[in-house]
Formats: sequence, C-alpha cells, structure tokens
Amino acid sequence: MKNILTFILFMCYSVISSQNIKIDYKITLNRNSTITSGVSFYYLLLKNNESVYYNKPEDDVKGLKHKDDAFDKKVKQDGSIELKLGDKHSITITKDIFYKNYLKDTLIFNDFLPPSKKVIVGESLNLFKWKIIPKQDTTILTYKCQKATCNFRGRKYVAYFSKDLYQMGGPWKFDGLPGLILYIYSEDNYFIIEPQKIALNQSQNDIKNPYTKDKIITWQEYAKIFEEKLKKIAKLMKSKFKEFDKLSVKITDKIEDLQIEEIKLKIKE
Amino acid sequence: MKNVLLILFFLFSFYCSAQNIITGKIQDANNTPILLANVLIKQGDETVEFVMARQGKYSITLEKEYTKIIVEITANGYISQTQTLDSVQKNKTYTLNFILPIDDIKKLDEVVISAPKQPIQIKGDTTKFNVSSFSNGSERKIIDIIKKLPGVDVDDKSGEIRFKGKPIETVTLGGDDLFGYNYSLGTKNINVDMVEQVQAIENYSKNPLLKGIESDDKVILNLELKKGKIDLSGEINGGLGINANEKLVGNSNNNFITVAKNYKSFGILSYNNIGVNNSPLDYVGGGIGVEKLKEKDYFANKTIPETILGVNLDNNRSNINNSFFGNYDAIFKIKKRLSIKFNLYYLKDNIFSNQLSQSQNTINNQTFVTSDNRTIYKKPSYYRGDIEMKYNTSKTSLLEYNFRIQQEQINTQSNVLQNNEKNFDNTLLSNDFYLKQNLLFTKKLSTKTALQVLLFHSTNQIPQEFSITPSVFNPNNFEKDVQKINNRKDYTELNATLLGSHKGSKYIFSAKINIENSPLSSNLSSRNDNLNSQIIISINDLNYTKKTFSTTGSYGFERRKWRISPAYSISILDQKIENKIQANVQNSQNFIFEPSLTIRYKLNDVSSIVATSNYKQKPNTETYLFTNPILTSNRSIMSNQPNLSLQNTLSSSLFYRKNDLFNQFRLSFGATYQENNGNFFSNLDIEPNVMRSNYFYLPQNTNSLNFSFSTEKYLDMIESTVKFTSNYSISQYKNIVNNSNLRDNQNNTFNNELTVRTAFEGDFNFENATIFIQNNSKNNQGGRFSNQFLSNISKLVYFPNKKWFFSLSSDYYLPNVNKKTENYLFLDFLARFRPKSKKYEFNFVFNNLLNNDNFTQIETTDYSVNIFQSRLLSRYFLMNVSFNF
Repeated sequence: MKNILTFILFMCYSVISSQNIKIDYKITLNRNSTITSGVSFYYLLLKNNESVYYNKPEDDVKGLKHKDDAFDKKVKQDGSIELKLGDKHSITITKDIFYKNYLKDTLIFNDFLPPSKKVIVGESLNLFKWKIIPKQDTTILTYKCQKATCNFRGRKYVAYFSKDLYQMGGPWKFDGLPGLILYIYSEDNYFIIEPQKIALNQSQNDIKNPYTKDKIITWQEYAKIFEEKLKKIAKLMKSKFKEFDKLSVKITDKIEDLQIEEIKLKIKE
Repeated sequence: MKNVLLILFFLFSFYCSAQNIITGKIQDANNTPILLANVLIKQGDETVEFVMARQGKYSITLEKEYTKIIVEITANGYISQTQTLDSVQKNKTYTLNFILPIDDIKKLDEVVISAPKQPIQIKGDTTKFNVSSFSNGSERKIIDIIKKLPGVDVDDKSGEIRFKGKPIETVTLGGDDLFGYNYSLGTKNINVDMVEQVQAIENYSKNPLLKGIESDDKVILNLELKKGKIDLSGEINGGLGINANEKLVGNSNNNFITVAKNYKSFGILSYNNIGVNNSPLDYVGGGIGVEKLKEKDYFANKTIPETILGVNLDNNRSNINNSFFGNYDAIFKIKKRLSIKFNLYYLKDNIFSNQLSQSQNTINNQTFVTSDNRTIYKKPSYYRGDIEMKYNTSKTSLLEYNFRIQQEQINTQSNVLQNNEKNFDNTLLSNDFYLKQNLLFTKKLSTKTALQVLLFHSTNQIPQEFSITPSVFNPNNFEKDVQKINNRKDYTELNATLLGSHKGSKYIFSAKINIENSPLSSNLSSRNDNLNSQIIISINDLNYTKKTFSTTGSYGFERRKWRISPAYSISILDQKIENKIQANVQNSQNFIFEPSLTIRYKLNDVSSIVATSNYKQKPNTETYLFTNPILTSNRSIMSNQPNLSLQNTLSSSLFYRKNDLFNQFRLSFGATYQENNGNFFSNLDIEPNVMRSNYFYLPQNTNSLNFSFSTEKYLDMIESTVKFTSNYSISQYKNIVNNSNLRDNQNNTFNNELTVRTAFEGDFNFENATIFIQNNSKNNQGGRFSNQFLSNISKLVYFPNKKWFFSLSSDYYLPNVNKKTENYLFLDFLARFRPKSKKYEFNFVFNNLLNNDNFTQIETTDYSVNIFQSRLLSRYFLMNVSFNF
C-alpha cells in the first residue's frame, strides 16, 4: 500500500516539474599546444532530477584552429573522430557524455587513460567549495545571474549561475550551486564555457543513464591508474631512446591536476 | 596557569559558537516530501551559505556566526519560501519546516533564447566583424561597412584600406584572392546583404608554404559570404532620371558572384553619367591606386601630366562623366595542384570639365595675376588582361606565373582662354602600354626555411603627343605647336631569397640583379599642315640605363615584449645617360649601404610603441632626364640639368598605438621626420603667359616633420562613436624664382577632422564630420601666403521600419574662412523602399538639390595663392530599381 502511494505521489511530482532545459555551450580550450586548441560545442539537457552534458564530435572538427590542415579523418564505432593534423600530430575527438543524477548525488563520465583507453569514472556531485560573491550580479541571456568562485583541481574558476532558470545544474563537472551555471571560466583562460542558446521545454525525451552496463571506477582509482600507465610509457620510451641521458614525463595540458608528479628516469647509468 | 585556562576557555567557546545547526522538512501542500530543494542562508539579499536538500529533509551546520539570518528554500516548480531567525542563539539547533506551494505560473511553453552575435570576435590572428552589428541600414556596398569598423581606415582618394595602421594586402572572397591589389573592385561593388562577416587576418601569408616562415606583418581582409549565397548571386540595378538641364541621367551597376567547388568568379558591368566611379582607376582626381603605387618602379615616367579634373569634394560631384566599366575575375581549380586566375578589365569614359584657375603671384615684390579658363573633354579607355597560374609541383614547392597586358589611351581635348585674352585649342594624346611577366618558384627546404627564386620582366611604353593651336612659339608663321614624346621603360629582375624562422626570430636574405633601360625621345616643333612646313624648336634623344646588384637582409627578433628588426641593403649601382643630341655620356657608379631598424615594445596586448629609422640612397635621375625643353601645357615648359647624384634620405618615426577593439577604443600619436640631402630644385621663370621650369641638382637639404594624432572611441553615454584626427606638418625646401637667389621656403599644414557617428536604438541616426585645414606658406624674402578651409558634412538617417529608409545629407564648405560670403552648401536626399522579400529595392535619389554648379578651392605655394574653380554635376533626380538574386 505504501509503495502504491509513493508511486502515485511520484507521478504527481513528475508532472509538476517536468520542465526541461537545453543549453548550447561554446567551450574554448586554450591549451599549451595550439594545434589541439580550439572551440567546441556541448549541450546540456536537464530534466527532473537528471542531466546529461554531451558533444557532437562532427561539430568539434569545425571548431579546431588547424582544421584546414587536417587530413585522414576516421569515424570510430563509439562516435569519436580521429584526425591527423600535420606530420606529427593527431587528435581524437571523443564523444563525451557527463551524466548527473541529483537524487543519487552521482556524476558519471567518460575519460581516457594513456595512451588512449576509454574509461568510465564516477564521482560525487559535491566536488566544489563555492563562494558566492555578493553585489556582482549580471544578466546573461536575459537571466539574472549571481557570481561565485572556487578552486578546483589546480585552477581558479569564476561562475555565473541563475536560480531563476533552474535550481541546480551546470556544464561539464561543474555543479553544486543553488542555481544553474550558465557561464564559467578559469581565471587563467585555459577553460571557458559560454552559453549560446537556452531552450525551454523543447525536448520530449527522458534522460537515461548511458553507463548502466559499464564498469565505473572512482576518481582516485583513475588518477592512480593514470600514473601507473604513464610510468609504463616512460619505461617503454627509455628502452627506445638510448642516446638520451634523462627522460621525464610530465602532464602539462590537462584541465584537472591529477596530482601526478613529474616522472624522471635516468637512462645512462 | 591563569593564562592557559583563559586560552582553553577561548578555544572551547569558539568551538561551541560554530555549532549552530538548522534542520527541517521540506514538503508540498499535500505533506509530500519535495525530492530536491536548495536551502539558502541569507543575510539581507546575500546568500552566505547553502546546501542541497534531498528527499524533503535538510540539515545545515553554519560555518560562521550570525545574529540574524533568513532561511530560503527554493525548488523547481515551487514558489520559494523564507523564514527569519531574528536572534540566533549560540550553540543551538533550530528546526524549521517548510511547505512550498506549487508554482502555477511556470508554464511549459517552448522558449528559446539565443546569445546575440558579438560584434567583434578575436581568435588568434583573426578579428571577425559581424556585418549586421555595424550596419544602420543606410549602407549599400560593403565599403560603407568597412569604413565603420573599429581599427580600420579607408583612404578616400586611393581606396587604400588600413587595419591597425597597416595597409592591407588584398581583400579575399571566402578565402580566395580574386582581386589582388585592386581589391576596391570588390569593396566598392559587393552588396552589404551578401556578406556575413568581414574578417581581418593578421600574420597573413599569401603563399601557404611561407606560413610561419615569412615575417608576420601582412594583413588582409576576408569577406565571408552569407550561407546560402552559393552558386550564383548578385545584383541587377538600373536607374533613370533627369537633371537640371533637362537631360537624361542614368546609372546601372550589375554584378555577380559565382561560387562552385572548383570555381569562383566575380563580375561587374556598369554604366553611369552621375559621377560614380566603380573602377579602381581614377581619371578625375588623378589619384594613384594601390596597385600602381606598389608597382610604380616598373612604370615609365609620364612626361606630360594628365589634366586633373576634380576638386576636393565628396560624392563625386565634379565627375561629369559618361563611363562604362566592365570587369571579370575568376579562379579555376583545375586539378588538386593547379589553379588559374583570370582578370579582365574594360573601361571607357568621357569626362567633361570646365575650370577656371587663377594665380595671384607675388614675386620679387611684384604682383601679377594669371588665369586659365578651360573647357575639357577627357576620354580615357583602358583594356587589361591578367593570368595567374599556381602549380604545386610537389607538397613543398610552388610555381607561380603571372602575366599581364594592358593598354590605356587618354585623349584630352581642351580649349583654354589664357589671361582673358588668348585662346588655345589643346589636344593631348597619351598611350600607355604595359606588359608584365613573372615567374616565382618557392621551395620549402624544411619546416622553418624556404627559398624563392623570381624572374621578372616588364616593359612600359608611354608615347604622348600634345598639340596647341595657335602656335605659342611662332604664331605668325605657323598654325600650331606639336610636342611628341616617346618614352619607354624595360625592367628585368632576377632575385633569389632565403627565408627562415628560428626560435621566434625571422630572417630574410636575398640577392638581386636588376636592369632598367629607359629611352626617351622628344620633338617640339611648330607646324603648318596646309603649307606642309615645320620648324623644330627642341629635341631630345637619350637613353638612361640603371643596373643594380644588391643583397638585402632583414632579421626580426622577438623576446618577451620587444621586437627588434634590423635590416640592411648593400648594392652596387651603375647609371648611364647617353645623350645622343649633345653626343655626351654621363656615367656613375655608386656603392650603396642602406641600414634600417625597427623596434617595437609591447606595453600590453592592445598597445605598443614603435620606433623606426632608416637611411636610403637613391637616384632621382629618371624624372629629370631631358635637357632640352618639353612643352607640358599651354603655359609651362620644362627642362632639366640631368645629374646622376644620389639623394640621401634619413627618416625616423616614433609612434604609440593602442587598439582596444573590445572596448572600441583606439588611440595613436607620433611623429615622423624626414631629411633629404641632394635634391632637384626648380628654377622657375614665371611670366604672365608662360612658366619655364628648369630642374637642377644641388647637394642641399630639404626636410619635413609631421605630427599626427588620432583617436576613436565608442561612448556609451551618448551612444556614439567619436573620432578625432589631427595632423600637423612642416616642410622646408628650396627653389629659385625669377632669377632670385636660392630661396628657403616653408610650408605648414594643419589638418583636423572630428567625426561623430551615432548608434541610437531608435529610428533616427546621425553622422557628422567637421574638417578644418590651415595652410601657411612662406619664403625667406618675406612673402607669406595662407588660407583656412572649413567644411562640415552631415547626414541624417531615418529608418522608420524595415521597408523604408530616408537620408538627408548636407555638405557645407567654406574654402576661405576669411571670406564667409563665398560658401557652398549641398543638399542630397535619398529615399529607399524595400518590400518584404528584400529581392527588390527602389531608390529615389535627389542630388545637389540647391543646384550649385561651381566649386572653388584655394591652395597656397611659396610665391602664390591659387584659386581653382570647377564645374559640378548639376541637380538631378534619379529613380533606381535593383534586383538581388
């Protein structure tokens, strides 16, 4: 009886709040390597207590700074696109999906492990210690927004969120503010996310967790395996480049700091 | 012990005070828990702490101590509720339960909000300007938009476009270079509606192999066409009307663009007699186009200058024309590696002018007035064809071949009433034939070095014939004087260049051999065709050759905020004049070293200081070759004392530039100083009927100093862009007038322009430009000549709806500020109607409403004040229909 009642109540609830929001974001990544820097486009879909944030890799090819030099395009099974840029560079534009469930407080997304293995990582939604900055409200795409800042994995971010639009949500991993994050950038301009379009109640589809069948690892596990893989690569390189004295591997171009120190190996004893 | 206790107590109490906890339930009106909600702790309007509540329960431990707080609960689909805690007691847990009513107002309608297109986007080397953001609806051709873009300057006379102070190389169409230096073809003719974006691309390399190797100071504009404007698009435009003399006037300007996978083309076919110039050539004002300026070394010197017909007025008012112009440009990508470009030009015009020039000369304390009243018919015709082939012989090499042939003929008939007493009929026939070929091979040696080899050949022939009836020299026995000139220049060059870049530095080294050969012959005679007799007055027959072997090098070095670019050129110059009449040969050989240095210091991303200095040595022989007199107009005779000496020029400049495109603020100021040592000076012999000028060389100085200031800012407060430019120049030179000693002269010009352009949201907009020019000339004999000029040009635009557009412009000129009664006011009115489909457009043009048929401009020299009056296009009404496809 209790179950039936809960079910009925749940139905009521979903009718009330089945408002959905789709936001088109423009992402600028100013990487240290300009060849893979550029603009890409992501979409955030929020409905009920879930959200997905995803890209269309075909769009992203158009936003690449050096797209004119690209040749040899391959579309892989999982929707990702591999491009060769120039003689020595190649880039894979993966199909990314960030799935969030606010009731369960979970964030699940795909990432890669070196050299290029796809993994699924799960984290809590509550990753950020935000500070709301008073008296710096602004209007973005007609919505009144408040400003907030936080430090997250090596970068300082400035976000603008609106509680008039939705009570939660944000692009990429960003979340945890009492409103929807519309615009966010890192203070070093490495990572910039700007809204292009807000569409209310356009989508009819429900959001589904795309990772129900996948093996999910934690962020700590991910960082640990990442480091192990890097060390393996360093050792492999050591066996190949015997003419060098020293070899070191360092992550310089990642959005988040994995807290992996520079791996230094001596080749010549 | 007492102290320790106190500290312990303090720590304890502090710890206790942070223990305020607020918990509670969040439910809807049916007492059902609300699954997700935000709990906000506020002080006044400010949110100080917050937490997310799940399943209708919350608990927040306050991090700080507060006396009064507001607890607000927000949830999707519900109206937020607040409760206030007035006096928060330390170390206490509060329970606050909330019931949130359903928000009925939140509708589930579909709504889409898009980010407005930013007017300016900067990505790396590319600055993108969205055309719609800079349009107020009054613009028709893309040049009207380009003029308004921040950071862009357009020179009205030459059509030259500059971006951030640098002249652009070309204007490409969707990335393809169709027009070359004659980019005004595109900017003057392409419709605003066809273009989505104007992009300024810095660090541009025309040759893709040199990208990143070439020194990065080239800029181009790219016109990005609107999507959907593919295949074939363009405009058909025709207008008919009537002028104040009840004669028909007409204007038709048709153009098209085709875009296909392997083919892109642009074409123009135009006719008008309302003074519009759609071509890059200028036969009215005598302006030199961008292309001719770049190629001036390859052209022979036109001995008799063409008659200048225009006055310094906007809107082509003095161009009483009848012109036909056609142009076709196309690029074909034949194979993956081979592309061919064609450019064809055709122009025919018949320009009428009636002008009165009056000089008040004050020489050696004598004053006399000379005047010429001319009626002129100038008929230029121009034919030209260009072919450019690009062939990528491999992935790292490119072969380019250029060929151009052009023929220009100008026939000028004029009747002159000299000093209100003598009447002459003049005919000047100038031909100009030009043939150019060049072959350029580029090989990329590595990712950072490239080699270029250039083979260039051109020939230019300018035969001229000037005849004047009755004879000036022998009026009693002969009916006319005929001046014939045959002038040619052959130019051959072989050039090898090595370009490279290394760790942020860029270098170029080149070795060059060039040979120029310029024969000139002239014959001035008095003739009587009836009696078949002639008497020769003056002949010239000479040949000038110039051979140069030179090596040049430049290096650009960039570290942090500094860029230092030293350059040098070392050459051996061999010159020879063979004068066949006097049977003498002048010879000279020079060793020339020319250093130059440019230093740039970047203050920040948007501002920098640039200092340049260079030293040049070049012969000016070519302009002053002939010894015996040549008649160049009904009153002027020119001769020279040829000299092979070099002119040494030292020029230096220092500039501050700020280009803050985001804030639409631009500021630049600086000074340029130039000193020439070794010049040809004129020895003028001025009489009421004739002016003889003899040019001779003296190792004397002339110098000029120029200060300039320019600023442009969009002022949000008045919703307007304000632009102010100011120039002050002083030039000092020498001459001899009527057997005087060598005189020192000075010319000062002070030029100011203030422009205000509104960007109001409403239906009305306004543009106003005020120009004030002060001219002072003086010589060391106490002669002073000055003039002040003022003009104010304003335009009022009324755009009540998307269909109708009206503009009224009033141009006011005061050629001499001290004579306020002699002023000119021009009124022009335009009404435009555009039906909803935008395919058609109707223009109703009322030009020169007050029917001013004359305009006067005043210039000063070191011995005279010259008044120049010219006939203008009379009032006309024209109705124009255009169809866009």
